[in-house]
Amino acid sequence: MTLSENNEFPVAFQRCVEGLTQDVENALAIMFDLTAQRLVRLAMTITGNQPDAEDALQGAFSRLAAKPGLLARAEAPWPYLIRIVRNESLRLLQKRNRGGNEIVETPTSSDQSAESMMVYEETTDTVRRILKTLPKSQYEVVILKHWEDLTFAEIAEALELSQNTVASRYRYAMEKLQRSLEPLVK
Amino acid sequence: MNDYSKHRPDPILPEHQLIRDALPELQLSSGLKLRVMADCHRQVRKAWWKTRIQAGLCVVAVCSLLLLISQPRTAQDSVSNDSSGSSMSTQGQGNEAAQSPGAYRSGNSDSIAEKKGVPKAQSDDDKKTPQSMTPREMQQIHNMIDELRDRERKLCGMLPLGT
Repeated sequence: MTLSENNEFPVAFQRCVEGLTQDVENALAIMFDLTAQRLVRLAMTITGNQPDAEDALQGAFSRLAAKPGLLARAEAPWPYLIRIVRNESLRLLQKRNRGGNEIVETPTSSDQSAESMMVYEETTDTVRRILKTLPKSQYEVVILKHWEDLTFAEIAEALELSQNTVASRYRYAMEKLQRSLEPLVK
Repeated sequence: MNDYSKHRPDPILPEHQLIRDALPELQLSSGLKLRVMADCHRQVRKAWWKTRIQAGLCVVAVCSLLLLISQPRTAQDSVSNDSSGSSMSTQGQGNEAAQSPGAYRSGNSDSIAEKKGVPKAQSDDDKKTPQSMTPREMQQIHNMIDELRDRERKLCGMLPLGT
């Protein structure tokens, strides 16, 4: 995720949300292109596997199509959409009631040498493994903070928690991560 | 928290960067978009029909309510018409003069027309008998009496008397 992507995303998303009041299907199609990958990644942190995460995304979009006004009227639409996807994921998880699988990933392309690429892959794998050792409540907060660049207020909105709870969960998580990631940082 | 601290970016520590680098790149399933959009299309159509049906039901409910409200009123009207008709016929049996339009009498004994004594006062002032009135005058008196009865019915006999 580049810096320009991060800056452009809120504007493009807001435009989509405004479009929901005019042409719902078209606005949802654009919103899908814009958010599907992020939302599936987020849903995977709950469901633990990609097919279920995609089902959760489908469920969330289905809800949006039925009541587009809910998102259009939301004070903070992006955290609200995250909340819908999260709730769908939890609902699905409850329904299926089975453990998550490993994340299905595609190799990232870069110009690095094979050796450095291997080291990089190894490091990211280790970081993901360490992240997964966190309690789910803390893991969610860290993911939303670092992968989605949400503020504490937005995370609180998405997880339906108070800002203080979110901040303390983040602090505890980062204390643990700092200890675990120390060897990798060195 | 002041405005400066709100907009100040968080410091990025090395472990933060490691977490950010661990962001997995996903390849969404092929056909996911088609599946999701087809589902959305179905939901949009469903929502459209739901709105129409709800609006239709509202209209039906309002019409039914109006019908229910107007039903007793029309029934009441027909009852009062019947009673006035029957009183006229009984009068007609006894007195031929009463059959003439000038001898119009209300079916209700406590009608405002009688209480106010409108026809009586008029006849006293003008010294006119029903036979001496022109059909036009008779028609006017009928209209007045009908109007007064109508007002009395609407106001449930609460019109002030003797004014």
